[in-house]
Amino acid sequence: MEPVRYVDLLNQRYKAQGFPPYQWTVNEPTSLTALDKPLSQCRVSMLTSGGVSHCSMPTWDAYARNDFRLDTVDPAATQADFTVSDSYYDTTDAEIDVNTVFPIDRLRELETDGTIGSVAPRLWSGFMGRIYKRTHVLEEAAPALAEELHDDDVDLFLLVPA
Amino acid sequence: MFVNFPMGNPFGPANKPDYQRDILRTALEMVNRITTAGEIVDVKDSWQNDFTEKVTKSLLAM
Repeated sequence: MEPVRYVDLLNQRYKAQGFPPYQWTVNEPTSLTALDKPLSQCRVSMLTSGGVSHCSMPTWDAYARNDFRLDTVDPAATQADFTVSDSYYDTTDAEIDVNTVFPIDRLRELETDGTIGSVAPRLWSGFMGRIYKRTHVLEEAAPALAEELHDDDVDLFLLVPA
Repeated sequence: MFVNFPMGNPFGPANKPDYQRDILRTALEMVNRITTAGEIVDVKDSWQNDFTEKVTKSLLAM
């Protein structure tokens, strides 16, 4: 099947509600930084934006807008430790098995079998819902997260949208 | 990496650990294959059924 035209559909929806066409952000790629070590020696971290919360934390606001809360996740947590709360996609499978949107068990398995060097000491959940403050993302939130990754000596960061 | 799966399933179906692991491994191994920043790699697998109509109805009804 052809990919679903999500952007076109959302524009159609906004138009039906009387809004002007949404100005989607176009991010220009930065230069590629090649790894200086094999994957099997890399420390990997991961972020989900799918409204995934550890049971020790409040659930996410399923209808969140401009929510810059950012949770750290213990990489030893297992899929049974999470709740999923997000109105912007069908969470049925993620509630059964969080690995469909946040493959935390799978990441540890790739550490065990030697595909990656190690799982970082902190994984992440955030940037969920709808975020319209793109300048804040570019100039504050994303750079702050990059600093945290630097502190953890992360080589690879996997960003998982829902 | 782009997978033509429904939102909520970027790593495939629930309780399919081998499949999920393969998708994750493919994503991570991209770092050894890509030569240009911003390059998009398509995963060729198909979802079990066409979800276009379901998603369309859902998005337009929100």
